[in-house]
Amino acid sequence: MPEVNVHRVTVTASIGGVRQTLNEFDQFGRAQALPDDLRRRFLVALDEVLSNVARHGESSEIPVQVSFKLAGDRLTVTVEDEAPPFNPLEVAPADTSSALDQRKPGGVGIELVRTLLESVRYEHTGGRNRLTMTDRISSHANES
Amino acid sequence: MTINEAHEAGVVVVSPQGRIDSTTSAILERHLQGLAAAGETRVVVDFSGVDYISSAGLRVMLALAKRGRDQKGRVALFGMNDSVRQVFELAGFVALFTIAATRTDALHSAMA
Repeated sequence: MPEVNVHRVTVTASIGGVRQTLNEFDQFGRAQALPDDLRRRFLVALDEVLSNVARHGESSEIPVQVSFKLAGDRLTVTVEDEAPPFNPLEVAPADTSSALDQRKPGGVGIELVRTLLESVRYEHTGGRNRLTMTDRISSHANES
Repeated sequence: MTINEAHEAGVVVVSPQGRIDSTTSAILERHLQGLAAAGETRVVVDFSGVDYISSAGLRVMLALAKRGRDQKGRVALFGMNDSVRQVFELAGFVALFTIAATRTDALHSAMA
């Protein structure tokens, strides 16, 4: 069995909650000696997902539970909340090729989550949104 | 977030330190808007102290590019680590900016 390290944090769906979670993940990543590339890809994804929850949730008091699990070389980050059902993976892809005039900022964030990580899965279960993001230390998500 | 600013030969070099994400992007946006309000149209952003950038940061960069165009200014970037560069590429932002290899090249580009 590979060694398993788990860290859980519960915050509110607010900018303070986003900041706290990112700080905790950063510390977790450094403590587990994650490669910078992997640590940063997850930080980008976590910022997108958590700021989405903070924006779409009905209240900044909604608790959000985040867990980081490193099992062998596989890192899994799960974000769960009780906000209204919202699947961020259904957001329309961003326009990433038009000229400056036509560029809109929306949609880029979730596109990054989809492409930066090996796997991202959404489910709504037991009245909760759950987003599970995984990648491996040895993986290169940007390889074409 | 700390933002350092240097002025060289009519160009402002802005050096944000740390992460550029939803928790810090408003600080960078305010700083860059302040430069635009002061009539500084030649801007270099030094990414060498930036750990990562998320889409909230890209939004700030998009606004910078649009202001640069509207004010007929020059914007150049340099010093990106691989993670920042990857986010720029995935978002299709490399086509919108001059991304220089060195500080000197970025300054030259912004002066041109």
